[in-house]
Amino acid sequence: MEQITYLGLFLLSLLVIPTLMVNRFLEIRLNSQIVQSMIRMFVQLFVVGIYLKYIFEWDNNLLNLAYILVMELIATSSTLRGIQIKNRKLFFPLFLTVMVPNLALIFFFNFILLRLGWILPARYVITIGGMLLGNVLNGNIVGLNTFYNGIKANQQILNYELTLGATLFQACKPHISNALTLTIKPTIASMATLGLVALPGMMTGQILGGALPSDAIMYQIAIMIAIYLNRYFTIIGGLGVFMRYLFDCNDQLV
Amino acid sequence: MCLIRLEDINLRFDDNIIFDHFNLKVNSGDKILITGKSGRGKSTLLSILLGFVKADSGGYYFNGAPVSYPDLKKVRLNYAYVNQDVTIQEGIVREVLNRIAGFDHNNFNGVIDQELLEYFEFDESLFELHTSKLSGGQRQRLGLMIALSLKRDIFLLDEITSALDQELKDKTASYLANLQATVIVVSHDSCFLKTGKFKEVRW
Repeated sequence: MEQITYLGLFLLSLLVIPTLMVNRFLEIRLNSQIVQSMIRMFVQLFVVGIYLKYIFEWDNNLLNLAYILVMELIATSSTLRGIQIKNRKLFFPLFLTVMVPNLALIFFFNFILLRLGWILPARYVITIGGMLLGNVLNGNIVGLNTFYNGIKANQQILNYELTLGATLFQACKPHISNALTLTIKPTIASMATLGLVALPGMMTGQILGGALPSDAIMYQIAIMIAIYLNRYFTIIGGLGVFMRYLFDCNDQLV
Repeated sequence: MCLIRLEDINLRFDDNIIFDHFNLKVNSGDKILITGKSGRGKSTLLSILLGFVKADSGGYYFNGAPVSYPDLKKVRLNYAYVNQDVTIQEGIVREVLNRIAGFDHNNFNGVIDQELLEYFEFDESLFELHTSKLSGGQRQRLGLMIALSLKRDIFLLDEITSALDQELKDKTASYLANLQATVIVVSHDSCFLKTGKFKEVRW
């Protein structure tokens, strides 16, 4: 693969300057945010580049697994930050809903799709695990927020239905369906348009890296199905955790 | 026999005192009308009975036994409740009724008796409408008929006649006055006292 030089990146970045000038002219107050975001991107990716270099060099099963677990922990705490519910009891159960489907899919990839057995190479496990997690994170935040806000906004309906004889699950079911739908819809939609509008990121990366397009599509299809499954099972778990922990013994929001 | 008893209930929301040493005794078969200015917490009283609002202090007895917080879920199912806005799930009326019929803890089969429909002048064609298309009065009658269809022994009815015309207000009040069941109504309407069976509790 051809190398991109620092100078090249620098020149590309210079092209951002005219957009800053236009923003200023149009009084769009985004310039400091744009500069900050770009700096953060540079710093974060350089740091990632450095430690991934070592992780890929050592390529130790346990270390790779630990790395995945840390990513899952971070994804869980980002989810919690994204839903703005201050309840520490939620952390561990939500972590399980992130971890179990994610690890299960990573192992499926490793054992069945890639036939690598108990060897967990960093270049597969970390990239695939990370890609799944990034996707799960968005879906989880959207889904859990939808559910929680739906319940909060419709508490009168919910309570009324409880008096009519609904179980908590029956009264919550419309909100559960709604949250699940919103979580998986973007994934379904992107599956249907994949390859028509743009080449998907993973496939692009593999082709740039020298893989045959025919191999790259197999990975792309596998990752899309895995993303769908991971989002689905994580949000189902998350909604279950919410049902269990956000209501008291009288089915009232705590 | 004393069915419901509230003893020395206190409740405040921030600086707003809703209940100050409030007491209430309801005997089986009583017809009670709760009146008083708006915004003073009459609806909150029903919410306390249903366990949707927890009093700061005081006792709640049902059938002579003290009701602790975890019991409320069961006690709640003795009441047929209709709230002010009749907050049923929105949708086609028939589907909404079927949804309610699907709930575990009732014996409602999704069909409202012909007798009730006629008495409350609720045309069957309304079942095919979306709930958002119902008038306030139609919605209130629907809520009441659902509550009656649950065949429970105690009714908690919050302003269920406000959007009805005078004739229907009177019919509703006399229907409820002649029930065997215990009825607690929150209302500003005079129709309930006119029946001569409701005992007024002023707030």
